[in-house]
Amino acid sequence: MFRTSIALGLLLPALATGCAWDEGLEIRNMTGTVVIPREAATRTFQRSDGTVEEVTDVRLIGPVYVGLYPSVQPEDTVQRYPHPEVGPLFSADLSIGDAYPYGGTTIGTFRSACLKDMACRIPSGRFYDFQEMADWFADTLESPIKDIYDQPITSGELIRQTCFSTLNYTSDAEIGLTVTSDRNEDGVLDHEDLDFVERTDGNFEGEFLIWQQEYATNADGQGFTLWAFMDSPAPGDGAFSTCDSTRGRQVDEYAEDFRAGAVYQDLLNRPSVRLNRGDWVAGQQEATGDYGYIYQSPDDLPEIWINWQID
Amino acid sequence: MDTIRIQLPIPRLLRLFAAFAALLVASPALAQTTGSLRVTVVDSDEFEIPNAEVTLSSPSLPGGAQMKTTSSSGIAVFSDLPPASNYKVEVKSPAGEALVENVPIKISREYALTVTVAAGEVIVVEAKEKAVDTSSTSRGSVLTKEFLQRVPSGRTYQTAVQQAAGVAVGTGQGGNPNIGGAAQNENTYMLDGANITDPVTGTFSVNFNFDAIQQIEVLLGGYMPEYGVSLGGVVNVVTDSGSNNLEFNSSVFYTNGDWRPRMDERISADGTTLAPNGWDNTFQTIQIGAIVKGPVIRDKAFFILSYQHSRSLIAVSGTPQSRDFDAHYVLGKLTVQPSSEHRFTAFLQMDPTTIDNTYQGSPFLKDDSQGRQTQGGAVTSARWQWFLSPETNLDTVFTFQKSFIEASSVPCTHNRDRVQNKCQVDEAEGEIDWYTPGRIGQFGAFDSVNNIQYYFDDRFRFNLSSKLSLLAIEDPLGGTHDFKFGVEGSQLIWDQTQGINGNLVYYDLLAVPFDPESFANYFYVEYSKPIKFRTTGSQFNFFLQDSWKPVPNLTINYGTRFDNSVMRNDLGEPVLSANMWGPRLFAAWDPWGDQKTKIATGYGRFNDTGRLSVADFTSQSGYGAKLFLGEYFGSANGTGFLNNQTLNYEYDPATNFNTSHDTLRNPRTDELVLILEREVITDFALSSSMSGKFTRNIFEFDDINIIYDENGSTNIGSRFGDPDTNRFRIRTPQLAKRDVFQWDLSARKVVARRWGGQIIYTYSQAFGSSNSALSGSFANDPQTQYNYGNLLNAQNHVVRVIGIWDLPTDPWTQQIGLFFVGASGYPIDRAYWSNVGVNGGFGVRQRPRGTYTREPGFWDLSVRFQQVFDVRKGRLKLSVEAQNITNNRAGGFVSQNFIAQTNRYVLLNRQDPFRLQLGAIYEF
Repeated sequence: MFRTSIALGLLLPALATGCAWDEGLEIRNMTGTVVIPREAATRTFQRSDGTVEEVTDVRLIGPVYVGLYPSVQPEDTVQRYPHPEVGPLFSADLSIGDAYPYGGTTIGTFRSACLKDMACRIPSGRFYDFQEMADWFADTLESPIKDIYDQPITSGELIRQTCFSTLNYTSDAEIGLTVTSDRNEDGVLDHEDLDFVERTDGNFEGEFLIWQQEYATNADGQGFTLWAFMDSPAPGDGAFSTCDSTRGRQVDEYAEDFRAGAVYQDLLNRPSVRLNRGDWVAGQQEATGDYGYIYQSPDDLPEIWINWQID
Repeated sequence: MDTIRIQLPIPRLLRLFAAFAALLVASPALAQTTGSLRVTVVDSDEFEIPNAEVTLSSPSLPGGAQMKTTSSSGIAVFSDLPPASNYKVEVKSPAGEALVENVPIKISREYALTVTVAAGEVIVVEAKEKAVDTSSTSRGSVLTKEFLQRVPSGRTYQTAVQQAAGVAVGTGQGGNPNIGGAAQNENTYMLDGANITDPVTGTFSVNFNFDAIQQIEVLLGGYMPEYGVSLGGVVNVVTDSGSNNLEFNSSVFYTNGDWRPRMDERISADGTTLAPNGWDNTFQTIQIGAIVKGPVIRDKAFFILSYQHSRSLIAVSGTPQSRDFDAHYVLGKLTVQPSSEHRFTAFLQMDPTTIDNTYQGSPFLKDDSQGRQTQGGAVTSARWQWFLSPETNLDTVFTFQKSFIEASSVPCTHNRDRVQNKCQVDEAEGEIDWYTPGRIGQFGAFDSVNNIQYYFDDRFRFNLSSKLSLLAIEDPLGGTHDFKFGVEGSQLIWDQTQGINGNLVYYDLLAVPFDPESFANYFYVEYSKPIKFRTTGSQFNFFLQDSWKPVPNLTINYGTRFDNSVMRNDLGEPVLSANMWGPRLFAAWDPWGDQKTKIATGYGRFNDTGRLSVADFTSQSGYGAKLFLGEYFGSANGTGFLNNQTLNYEYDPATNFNTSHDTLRNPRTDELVLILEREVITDFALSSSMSGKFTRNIFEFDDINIIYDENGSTNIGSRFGDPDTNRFRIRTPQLAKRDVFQWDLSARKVVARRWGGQIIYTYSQAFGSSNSALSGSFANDPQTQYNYGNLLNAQNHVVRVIGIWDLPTDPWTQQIGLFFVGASGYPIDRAYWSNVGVNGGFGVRQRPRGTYTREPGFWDLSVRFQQVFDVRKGRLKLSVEAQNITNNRAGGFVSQNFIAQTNRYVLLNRQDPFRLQLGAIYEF
C-alpha cells in the first residue's frame, strides 16, 4: 500500500503540472466593430443623360483596413488627417517614416480577379451575387466589367463561369466574392450576410477579427491603439488605390495574362502613401474623445468610427 | 498467497549499494531486449508443488542451463532470457517429472508456463505460443524471426513493421511509418537496446541485415517508462546473438518488377501527365547475405557475424536514370558470460551506402544534373549485465553512433554503358564537379548541366545508460513486484557543411517551345560562400517502474520517468530546455485466472524530448542570396541581363531571423488504453484494443513580423518595417494539438497444427492542427481558423490479413504465407493563392484542414511459397514471393501543386507493381 501511495504521489502532481502550464504570451483573437458613417457610403453620380443620382450603398464601402498602433496623432500632426505616429525617416526614397503596427486585418480583400478588368476593383464581402456585381459596374458606376474581348459584361453568370474556368474553382465559396455563408445565422443567405450591414441609425457597421494577436502595453499599462481607414472606390471605374496591380496571382489562361492584384504589403506601415482624397480614416472618437480606440484590456470589444474624410 | 522470498544478506546489500552508485554515475533508454519465463509446477489435482527443481536450457542461453527451485507457491521465475523459441524446461519433483520443449520467449513478454507432473511419469509436452498474453498492458505485438521468414515482409525491418496492427499503411515517407496515429518522425527505434533514432530527424537511422533479426517488438502505446520517450510507437529490434550451435546461413534474394504488363501513362488533353507509368522503367533489387554464428566457448561465449549487400535499381515517375542504391550492411556481436554473475556484449553495426541518381520526382532531368548521396555510419555498443542475484541485475550500456550523409553531383563516368553523368573529354573518371552552377528547368525545361548543391552532414550520439532490476520482490501485503530503475545520459552533435555549386543557381525556361534541348535563363540566384555549423543537444533521464502482481491474475504496471533535454542552435543557445515527467499507470486483469482472458486499461504520459532539427530552426547560419532577372526579362525590355545590377530583384541577407519564445514546453501525449482479449476456442483469440492519444504543445512557429489580411491570403503590413522577411518564432502553443483515436479489432489463430493467421481491422481518427513538429500551421495567423481538421494520419480504415500454412508434405516442408493489406486513403487539402512573399504561391486554405478530398484507397496481396530441402550438411530453402500479385496500381502521393492550381488529381507515383522475388537460403 505504501508503494502504491508513492506511485500516486508521483502521478498526480505530474498531471497537475501538465494542466497548469502557461505559455506566458497574451495572444488571442481580437474582435470589434467598425462603423462607417452613411455619408461615407453615399456618392452622387452625374449620369450620362444629365441627371444626378445620389446613391447610398454598401458597395461604395471599399476595403477597410484595421491596424494596431502605438498611438494615433491628431490631424495636422503627422498628416493633415489623423494618422498613427511614425518612426524616424531614415530612408531617402521613402516619403514618410514607418508606423510600425502591432497587427491588423482587413474587412474585405481582393481575392479573385477572374478577368483582367476585375483586378483591384472588387473587394470581397460587398456583393450578394454575381449578377449584382455585373449590374453595379454596368448600371451604377457605368463602367462595366469587360470580358477578354474587351466587351462589356452584363451577365453575372458569365463572370461566375469565367472564374470557374480561369481559376479552376468549383464553387462560389472558393471564388469568395459573393455571399456564401450565413454570417448572421438567420437561416437565409441575403444582404444581411455581407461584410457591412446598415444599422437602424442609417450608418453601416461591420465586424473585424484580428487572429492570434499578441497584446502589448506601454509603460503605463495602456494598450495599443486601434485605427482604421477605408479605401473609397475611385470615381469612374471604382478601382482601389490600396491595391497593387503588380501583385496577386498570375492569371495566364487562354488569352488572359495579368496579375490579379493584392493589397500593398506595406500598407499598414505607411498608409498615407496609398490614401487619397475621398478616402476615410478614423479620427477622434465621439465616445471617448481619443484618436482611435485605446485598448485598456485585451478583452475590450471596441467600436471604432471611420469618421474623417480626406479632402 | 505465498511468494518468492528474498533474503538480502549484508554482502549483497553492499553490492547492491555499489551497483546503485554505479548506476548514478552512469547515464539508458534501456528498452527490453530479453523476455522472462514464469513456471508454475502443479500436480494432477492442480495443487502447487514447492521445492521442485526447474531447469531451463537452450542453445541460445549464455551461461548454460539455469536451475531454480520452486517457491512455496510452486513458482520459479527466469528473467533476462534472450528471445528464442527453443527453450527447454525440465521439472523434477517427488511428485513426478516433466519436460516441456520449444518454449517461446519474446521480447519484454513473460511466458507463463504451468507444468503438470504426475507420480511415476515423465510427461513430455511441446510448448506453443499463447493466444492471450494476460500480463502485458502495452498495445503492440512481437514479430518473430520464424514469422518474418514465413510471410511476405519486404525484407527490411521498416517494411516488416507494417504487418503490425496500428501502423498506418502507405502514409510514411522513406520507410518511416506512422504508428499509433503519430507523425512519422515521432517513433523510437531501438537496436539491441541502443537507441538508433536519428537525433536530427526523429526517423530511423540504420539499415542492417534482415536475416540477422531475431525479433521485432512494435509498440503502439501503453508501454512502460523504460522504453523511453516517443509520441508515436517504439520499434524495438533485437538481433540474433548466436548459440552453442555453429550455424551458417547464406542467402540470395532477387526481386524484379519488370515482368508484369506495362501500364501506360495517363495524360490530359493539355499534355499534363495525370498519372505516371510509375516504376515501369526499372524495378530490380538484389540482396546477398551471409551469417555465421556459434560458440566461441561453449555455454560461455557466442558470436554472430553478418554481412548483406543490398542493391536496387528503381526508377519512378518516368525518370530516365534509375535510383541506384548500393549498400553494405555489416553486423557483429559477441556475447560473453564468463560466470553466472556477469554477461558482456559487444556490438558493431555499419551500413555504408551509396545512392546515385537520387532525384526521382520529375522526368525533366538530364543525367548531368542528378545527385549522389553517400550515407551510413556505425553503431557500436558495449554492454555489461551484472546478475547480483537470481532476482537482481544491473544492465549498463555504452553506445556510440555516427551517421553521415554526403550529397553532391553524381561523379562523371567515361563508361558508355552507365546511364549517369558523362565525363567531359578532359575530365578524370569519377570526378565530382563542385564549381559549375546547376540549372533548374521550369515549365517543361530540363534540369541540366550540374547538380545544385552539396552538403556534408555528420551526426553523433554518445549514450550511457544503466538499469537496475529487482525482480519477484515479495510484497508484505501480498504478491510480487518487479522493480526497475534506470538512468541515462546522451550527448548529441550535428555538424553540417553546405554549399552551392559555383555559388550560383540558374532557373531556365524553354527557349523553343517543346524543344527540351533549348533553354533560356528565366532568373538566377547568387549565393554566398559555403557554410559550416554545429548543433548540439544533451539529454539526461531516469525512470522508476514497477510491475506489481498482487494476485496471480492481476498485473499493475506503474512508474514514471523524468527527462531533461537541452537542444542548442549553432550559437550554442539553448533553444529547447525542458524537464518532463512521464507517469504511467496500467493494469491487466485475467478475471477467471485461466490465462484466456485479459482486460487491460490505463493511462500514460509520453513526452517529446525534441530533436536537433527543432533547435536548428533558429540557427543563424544561412546563405545570403541575391536574385537577378535573366535573359527572359532582358530580351523583353532590351536592357540585357547577366550581372546587370539594375536588375537586382531581391536580396536575402545571410542571416536567419528565426527565434524561439522564452517559454516553451516540450510536446507530450496523454494516452488512455482499453484492451479486451479472449481466447474463445483453443489457440484462437478475439481482441479489441482501443487507444485515445491526446497530444498537446507541439513545436510550431508563428510569424512575429508579417501582418495579414482577414483570411491570410496576403500580407498588408510588417511589425518590423520589413514586409519581405518572415521572422518565425518557435512556440509550443496550447492550440498546437492532435487527438487520435484508434481501435484495433482482431481475430488471431496462433501458429499451431501447421497453420496460423490473423485478421486485423483498424479504425482510426486523427484530428488536430499539427501533423508533426514545425509543420507551419501557425505561421499565418488568420489561417488559424482553418487549422483544425483531419490530419494526414487519419487513415480511417485498414484491414490486414496474415496467413501461414505448412503443407503436409513431410519429409519436405512446404510453407505458404500471405499478407493482404487494404487501407482507405488519407485526406488532402487544396491550397489557394497566397500573395505572401515576393512572388507569392499556393499556400492557404479556405476550409478546415483535411476536408477537401481524400486519396483513393489501395490494397495489396502478396503470397510467399517456400520449399525446404535437406541437403548435404544442411538445409536449402528456396522461395518464391509474388508481391502485389494482382498488380494493383493505386495512386501514391498526389501533387498538391496541381490540386492547388488546376484542381486536377495528378499522381506523383503509384503503388509498387507486381514483383517476383526469388530467394535461396542455405544453412547448416
